[in-house]
Amino acid sequence: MERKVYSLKKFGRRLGTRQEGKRAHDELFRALAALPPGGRLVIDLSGMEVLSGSFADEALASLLSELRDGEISDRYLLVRADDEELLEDLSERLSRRGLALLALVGDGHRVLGKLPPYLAEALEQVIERGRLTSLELARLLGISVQNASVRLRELAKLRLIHMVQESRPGGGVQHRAVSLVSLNRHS
Amino acid sequence: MRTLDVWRLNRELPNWDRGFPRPLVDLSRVRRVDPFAAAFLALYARQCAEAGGRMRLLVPESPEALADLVGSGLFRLAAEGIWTDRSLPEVPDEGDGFSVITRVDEEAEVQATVDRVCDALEERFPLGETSIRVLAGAMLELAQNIPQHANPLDEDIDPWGLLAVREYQDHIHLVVMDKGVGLSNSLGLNTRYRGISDGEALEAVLIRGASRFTDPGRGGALRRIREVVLRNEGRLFVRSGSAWFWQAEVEWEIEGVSPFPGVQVSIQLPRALFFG
Repeated sequence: MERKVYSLKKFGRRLGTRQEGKRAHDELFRALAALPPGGRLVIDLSGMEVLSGSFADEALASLLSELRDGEISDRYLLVRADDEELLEDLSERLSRRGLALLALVGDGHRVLGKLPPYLAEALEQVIERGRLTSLELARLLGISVQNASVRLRELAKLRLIHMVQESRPGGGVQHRAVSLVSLNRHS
Repeated sequence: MRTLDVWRLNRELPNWDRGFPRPLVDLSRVRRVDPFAAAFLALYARQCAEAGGRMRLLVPESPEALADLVGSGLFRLAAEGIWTDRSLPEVPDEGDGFSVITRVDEEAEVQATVDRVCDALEERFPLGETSIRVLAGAMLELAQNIPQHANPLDEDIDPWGLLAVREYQDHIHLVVMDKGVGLSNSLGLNTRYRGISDGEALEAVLIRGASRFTDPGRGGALRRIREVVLRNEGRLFVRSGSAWFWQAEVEWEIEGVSPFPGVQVSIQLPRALFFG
C-alpha cells in the first residue's frame, strides 16, 4: 500500500477557522485522490499547538465522511500526533458525525471518534495480526463467520481497514482484511 | 463604584439604559475596569452612536485607571460614540493585540489576530502546551463565531466583533463579544429551536452544544469551551440578549436582565495553568 505523509503545519501552528479548514480539506482531497488504490494518507500533526474543533471538522471529519460515503474509493486516512491532547476536539467532531479514525500517537495507536465495542474488538484483532479473513476472525472472537464478515465490512466502510481479494486455497476467492497500521512499524 | 467588571456592569446597565442613546456613565470613582467592561463600553458606545446619540462618560479620576482605559483602545475604537468630561492622556498603543481591544470582522483575519495575541502572550511569560491550547482554542472558536453567526441573514446590522486578552497577577482574562443577532435569533433559524428564549438558547448552546445548522459536525464549540474552562478551574460568563450564564465554583443562569444585542463572553483562566 502506498503511503503519503501530509503535514498540516504548513497551515500554521494553531489551526483554526472553518475557512482555513476548508482550504486544507480541498488540498487533502486532491492528495487522497492522487494516491493509487489502497493508498494511505497520513496527516501529520507534529509540531502543532492547536487543532480547533471547527478546523478539524471542516478539514478532516468532513473528508472522512466523504470517504465513507464513497466519494473516493479504496483510499485511507490516518492522523499522526505527538500528543493525544491535541486530538480531543477532532475526536469529539468525529463522534458527532458517527465516524472513527485511526491515530498514531507516539509508539501506539488509538481510535478517535465513535466506534462501537464490537467493531473496536474486531479492529484490534486485525491490527494485532496484520491480515485476517472473516473465518480467522470468527475463530479468534468465537463468533459466526457471517458475524465476522459483517464486522469487517463495516470496518472497511468506515475506512479503518483495507480489504483485499485473494484466491482461496481450495478454489474461488476470499476477502482478507489488512491493517492500516503495523504494531512494530507505525505509518 | 470602585471596579467595573461583569457584575457591576450588569447592575449599572439598566440605569445607563434609561438615558440611552445619551446615557451618563459615571466612572469617576472607578479604580479598575476589567477587559470585559472596557470592551462592553465600546460596544455600548457604538450602539449609542448608531442610535444618533453619544455616551456621556465621566472618566476615572485615578490617573492609573484612566491610562488603563485609554490603553485598552476604547476611545480610539468608539470615538464617535463617546463624549468625555475631561481630555484624555496620551497612552502608547502596544499594537500587538494584547491588552488592547481588537476588532474581529472577517473570518480570514481571525487566525492572524489569534496568532498575534498568542505570540505576544508567549513573549511575556512561558506558556505550557495545555495553556496555549486552551486559550488559543477558545479564542479561535469564539472569534470565528462572530463572522459566522452574529449576522447569519446578512441583515443591515454591524455585529462589531471585539476581542481582548489581558494578564493579571492570578489569571488571564479573555473577552470576545459582538452586538449581532444573539444566540436565540441565530439558533432560532433552525426550526427545531424556533421561538427559543435567550435563557433557553444559552442552555442549549452551552450545555447541549446546539447549533443553527443541521449538519452534525457543526456547533458544540461553546459547550467544549465550557467543559475545558471547567476542567481547568477557570470562570466563564456568557451574556446574550436578556440572559446570562455564569460558571465558576457554581453554575448560575439568569433570564430577564437588561437586554443587549449579540453575545458577550468572558473567560478567566487561572495563571497557574500557564506554568503547568
